[in-house]
Amino acid sequence: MHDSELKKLLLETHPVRPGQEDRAWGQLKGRFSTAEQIRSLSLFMGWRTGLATCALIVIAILAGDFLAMRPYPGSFASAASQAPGIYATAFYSHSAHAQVVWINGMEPASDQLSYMDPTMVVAGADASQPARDPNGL
Amino acid sequence: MHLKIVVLGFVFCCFGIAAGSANDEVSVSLYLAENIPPPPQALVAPEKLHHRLREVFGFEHYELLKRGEIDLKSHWEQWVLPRKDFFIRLEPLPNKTGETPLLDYELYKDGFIVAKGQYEPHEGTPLFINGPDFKQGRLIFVLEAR
Repeated sequence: MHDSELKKLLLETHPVRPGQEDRAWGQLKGRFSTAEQIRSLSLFMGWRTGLATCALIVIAILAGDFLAMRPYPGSFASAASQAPGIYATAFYSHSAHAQVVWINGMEPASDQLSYMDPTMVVAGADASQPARDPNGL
Repeated sequence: MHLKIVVLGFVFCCFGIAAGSANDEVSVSLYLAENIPPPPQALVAPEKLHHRLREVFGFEHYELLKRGEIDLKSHWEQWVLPRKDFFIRLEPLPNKTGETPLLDYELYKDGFIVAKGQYEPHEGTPLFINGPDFKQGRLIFVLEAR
């Protein structure tokens, strides 16, 4: 059956009432315009979402670079004891913004002659002057 | 939009310049921390460093006893000997271009090694090494990237 024959049959069995075509076209046009609005809105939202995503990625990269370059509150130093009775540890001081190596157990430093240089005393040195620290260089 | 691209490029360039100008020297200073004021002619820690040292060690005064510099580009051992009984050996480790240099250190007291470790020098983040007590105070090594 050809289209023309089908159309003729339909017109005979279901005649189009006056104004029916106009009403149908009006409804269809309304739906078309709504669909167009939704489509344009989704395109607009997609563009904004994409831009926001790009902006977030760039911000994340910059923040990562910034955090990597600023004084990082992690440990940049390590410490290990090398003698019995000595304890060494390393940490980051947030309040001082500094790395700290803390060593416990050392004997106090002396301002007396050390065994390393027992010939430091100079004969005839001026006794009235305050004693110089013989371990200072 | 073009302005944003230019600004973004500028920011990346700044990061590149900052990364490129890596520190080449580390200053190594020995301070004497005390609660009694040092003599008037004594060199003392700069104000910012003073506050940082005080936050960690709690002493009132920080007198500079000796200062030395080590070159991070020279990958051999370098010694800083402010005293006969307390000194430090430093050795910059080889690193790839662009990487943060790493510094090997060994601390000596009375001629014997007492501690060793590694330090990654970062400008603005000094390293404080708590040394032995001395007189009424304490000796402190301060390593700062330049």
